[in-house]
Amino acid sequence: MRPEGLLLRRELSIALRSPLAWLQAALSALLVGHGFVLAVDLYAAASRSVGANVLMARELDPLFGVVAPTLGGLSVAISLLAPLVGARAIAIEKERRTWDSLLLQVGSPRPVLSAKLAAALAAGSLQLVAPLLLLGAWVALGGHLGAGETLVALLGHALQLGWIVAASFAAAAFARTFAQALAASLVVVIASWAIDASEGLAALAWLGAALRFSVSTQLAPFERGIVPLSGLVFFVGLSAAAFALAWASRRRAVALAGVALAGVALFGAGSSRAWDLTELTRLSLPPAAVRELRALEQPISVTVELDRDDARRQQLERDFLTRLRLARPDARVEFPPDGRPAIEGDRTEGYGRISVSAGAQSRETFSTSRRELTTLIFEAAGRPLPSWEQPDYPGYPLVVEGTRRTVVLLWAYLLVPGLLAAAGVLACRSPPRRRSR
Amino acid sequence: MSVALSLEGVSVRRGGRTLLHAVSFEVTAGEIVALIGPNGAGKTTALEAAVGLSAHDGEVTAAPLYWLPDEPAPAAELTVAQHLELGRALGGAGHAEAQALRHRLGLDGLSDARCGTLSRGESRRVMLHGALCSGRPLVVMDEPLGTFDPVQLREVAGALREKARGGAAVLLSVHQLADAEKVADRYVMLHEGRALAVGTLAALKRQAGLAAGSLEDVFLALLGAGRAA
Repeated sequence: MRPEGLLLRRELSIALRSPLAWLQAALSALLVGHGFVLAVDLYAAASRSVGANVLMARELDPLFGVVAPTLGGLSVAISLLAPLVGARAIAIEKERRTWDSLLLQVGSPRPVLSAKLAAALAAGSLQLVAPLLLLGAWVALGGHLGAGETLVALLGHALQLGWIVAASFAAAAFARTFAQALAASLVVVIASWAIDASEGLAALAWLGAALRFSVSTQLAPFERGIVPLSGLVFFVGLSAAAFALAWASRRRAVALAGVALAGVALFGAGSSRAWDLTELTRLSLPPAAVRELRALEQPISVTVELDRDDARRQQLERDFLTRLRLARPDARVEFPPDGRPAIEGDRTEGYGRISVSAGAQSRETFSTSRRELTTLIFEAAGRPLPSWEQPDYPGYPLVVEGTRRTVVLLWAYLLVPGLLAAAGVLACRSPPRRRSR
Repeated sequence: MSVALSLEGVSVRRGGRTLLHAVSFEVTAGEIVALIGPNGAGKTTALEAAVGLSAHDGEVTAAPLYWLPDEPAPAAELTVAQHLELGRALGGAGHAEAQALRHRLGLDGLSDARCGTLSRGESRRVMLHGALCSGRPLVVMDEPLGTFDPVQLREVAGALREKARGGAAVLLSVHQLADAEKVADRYVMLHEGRALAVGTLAALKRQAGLAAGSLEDVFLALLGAGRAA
């Protein structure tokens, strides 16, 4: 076997026979399970109120109602627990005093670091087992899941896991101890949370400009079934940069590659190109409108006079702007209030106005309706609104109650974490020790 | 014999202190050289400079090497058999050679034990197996003989000599002079970061002006002269 294969086997054995790997998976399962139970209960309550109303039933979307909240718990678990396995890969060797010896034995840091990172990712990936088992239970209960969109949501969290593991791995390459590496990793996690909090906390408002660099911002499209180029570049680029940084701890010259990769990741985070993999491409504008928008030669721009914390702006972002960017990634979107000092109550007369333009022509409205805004774009371009026909998403109401709910509770709080803990005990148990003298 | 390791005027400074003062010595293929000296003499510092783990002035030329630090712990998650096999495969040793070494180091009965359950001495023997299985022409070890009983020490010394007979150069630091005498062909005696003497026991005796005596007698004589100087 080649040295790379031998190293990978060694590292996988060390990572997957560590009680810590299974403990983080079991704790993560509890967090994810709790999110799943809450989501199933809320979904059941909403489904009960729908009754036979077809229009209301269309609003019941398992991706938003069950998958996203379940994976929300996973996101927290990854942020808090994945550093344990990421940092341990290198820190444990340092604490055992075998790190330098291993690197010298192999002769090059790259194969050692690659094998260690791969093993840490494998151990971290144990956190993905619980959501898979829980979403499997949802299907077993008769719930609906769109395969593509669910996989996209899971992909986003797998990428987040990769980034957190790689970041803590890099921290361990420079730290002397496991505790130092963990502390440094948590600083990265908390920095991302602080950026998220900047939206609602005046003291952190200065971080608002960095919002697109937060993990939550980059994860959001994945949770909605959209594959954004920005998110792919952000997570893959930062993970690669972290790996290069870990490598630079032994070969300084590689640091430049790390800085370049981080630059690409942060620059790429601003990309608007994305792919809608939702069932019936329901997050896109109607197919005819998409075709015609792409056929327009004029540049499209949208100017939104709404504050960052305004619910209308958030709704506009989720709805029209997401759909517009899917059709026209080159569309320019500006929010002038972001550049003004935020003084409570100081809102200009034109606050709430949305201007759309196609080439030199522009139109204005105070409506956030996607149809209204699309119509105005075509008006400005001198074209009629194309057919607005789009297949209706049927919606999938599901009431889980009685015995079935009890099964959900047992599955989420007991069986899934218990299965992971039991698997951990089996993987980590010491074989009977035989001594022959 | 070819030179596997050469230190030429190597100095190490850390935190404003000079830990090693222009130390020079060589280790050639097929010999075992022991770094000896009192606590704080600079043995570990010299070894770390030799293997490239610490910044230094002066010239170090080393063949591809295997480094065994002081008190390393084998991966607690692996069984002894897994650890030894991975070490053998990475080191490029043959199965028969590794098996013979395992037997010699008294590791046969520990194959199924998790490394995390081993005693200090057992761990040290497991780590030593990896060093001796290595196909590298130079093996550098920091205090590898620390916790062995006389019987084990004899076996380990035999294994080290066999390694050297196979053409490897072995450099090790040894705290116990009696142990060093059992193992090494030549000695580098360090005191306060300086090499007081380099050579065989006979050469050191000549330098100390002793007609007879053990390594310890020579050490004390040279140390006394070094302190007086």
